Amino acid sequence: MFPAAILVGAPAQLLPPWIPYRFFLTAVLAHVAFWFMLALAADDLVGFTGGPGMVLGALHMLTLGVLVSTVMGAASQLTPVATGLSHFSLLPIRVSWWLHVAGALLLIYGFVTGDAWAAPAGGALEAAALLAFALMLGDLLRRTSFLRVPVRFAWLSLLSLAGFLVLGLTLIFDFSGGFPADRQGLALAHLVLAAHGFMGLLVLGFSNILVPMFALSNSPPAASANASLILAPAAIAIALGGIFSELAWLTALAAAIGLAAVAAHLHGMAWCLRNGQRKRLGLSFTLIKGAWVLLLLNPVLGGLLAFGLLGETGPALFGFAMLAGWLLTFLTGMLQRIVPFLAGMNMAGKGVKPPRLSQLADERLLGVHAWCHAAAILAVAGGIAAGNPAITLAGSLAGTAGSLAFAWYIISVARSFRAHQLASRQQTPAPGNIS
Amino acid sequence: MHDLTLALCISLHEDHMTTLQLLERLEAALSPKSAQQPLDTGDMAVRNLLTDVASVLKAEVTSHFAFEEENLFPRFSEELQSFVPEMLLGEHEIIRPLANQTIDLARQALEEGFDAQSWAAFREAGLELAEREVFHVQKEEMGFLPGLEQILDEDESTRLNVAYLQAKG
Repeated sequence: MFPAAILVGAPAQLLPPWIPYRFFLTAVLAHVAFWFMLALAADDLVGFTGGPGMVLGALHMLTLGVLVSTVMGAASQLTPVATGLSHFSLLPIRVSWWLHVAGALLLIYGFVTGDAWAAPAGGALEAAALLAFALMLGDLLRRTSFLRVPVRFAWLSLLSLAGFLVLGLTLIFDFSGGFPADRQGLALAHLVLAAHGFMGLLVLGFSNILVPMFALSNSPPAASANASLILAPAAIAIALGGIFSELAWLTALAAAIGLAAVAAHLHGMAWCLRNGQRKRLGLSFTLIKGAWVLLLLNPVLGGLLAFGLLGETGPALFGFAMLAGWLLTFLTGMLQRIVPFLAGMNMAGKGVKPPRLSQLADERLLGVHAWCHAAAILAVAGGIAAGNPAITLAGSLAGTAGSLAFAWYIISVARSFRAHQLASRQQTPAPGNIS
Repeated sequence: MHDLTLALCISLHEDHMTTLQLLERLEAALSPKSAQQPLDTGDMAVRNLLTDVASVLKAEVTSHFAFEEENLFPRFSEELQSFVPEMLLGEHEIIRPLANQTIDLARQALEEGFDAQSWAAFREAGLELAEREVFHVQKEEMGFLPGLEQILDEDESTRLNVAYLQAKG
């Protein structure tokens, strides 16, 4: 069955466009800030294993600023259109954006400067934002009766959200004494639950809707989807066991199961691309395919890290490959597809001929971003592996250049959309002016 | 390919597939590299493409569009909501003249070949048509056909499908 009858109830399910856009605009601005902060932190990044400073600030600019903002915006719009259900209220989404922006900025400021009150205050606000988001998403998931695989992935993601929030707040408020692990173990568990659990499971679940939607294919085969649905959370749970017990073989087992989960997921995605009616999927899917390669690499690096085979810079390399390599690459690929698509949906039937999606912004900017992003990922990863801050700095600067091009593209789409909205309003006679 | 069950939806879906396959070929032929190099209409592959452009697009914007507008959009509006049919109808109105222009230019090229001016016009119309039609088909596949599956029963679908196939000739 096609994954979603996306448009059947469209008017009720399409949010006011500026609600998802504000999350997406936040994400693209944070994207620029992330690469710039990474350039400032190039010297410290190579041997980073945790602790406050610019690297931790940059890390959270990426995770909260870019990744979480993108997911919050996409999920708040995509879930209602995919399930055919309306939000019970838009208030939690609106409130969550304000809390999220304020919380992330304070938290990052606290991490960078070591300010005593900023990180706890920011952490509390961010937790409130994510709980409001979870309330919104959980309500839709609770009411839907189909899209079994994506819905279960989303529930597991929300469970991981609860876990990573507890661990994150524990780290911020330094309540680590009650847990069977040292502070570094807690930080690693927090990272695994946030990146693989909350973000990763949501990405796997929504990929089962978005990839068939853009490729115009059926849903992935049930066997692939079910296998990844079972194996991915199992790998995360076992990885947490490995971290807390400090048993390397358990972490390696998690990596092996994670690899199987990724293989099953990618088998399903490849099936969609092979069987989809649309073959020319453009630059966005070049990035998405690149992200899939890095996703495949992720459990391999995790397994090598468990046995200490990645050297001293292993933790930084593993974290960078997972967050910037897989998740950032995937989400920028999706974002450049979703933002014009949503603009096109919202411009339909407004009386003025809508521009083509390719006319909403200069698509050459996406080419600049893709090249710079690829160079940045390779250089920063290479710089970390070689212990060479100069290469890491060069990569971060390439990333900054690419992120500026990307931000320019997304802002241009928003400006074109705004111009079309204004033109449509001018053409529609006001109620009192109908002759 | 989709798990559609009603004969009418399967027919409409198969037509979408045919159209998308043609548009993929058209987009490939109109790639940026070809901007300064008009297609050689003496080449059999090019002649086949232009012939298919004329026939497939004609069927799409005449029988396919007309059948949807006369028989399906009103029903969809009554049973579900009017947003989707209104949006799709608006797109038909934009795509139809573009498709007719592309068809005319393809037919003209089959007879006379392309010069710089007709090639530029064909490229511009073809690329815009491909982009708008792909987005349109995407919307029909995502929302319209699943919606029809909800509102039509098997008998009605069979009856409408016979009428559709007859309209197509």
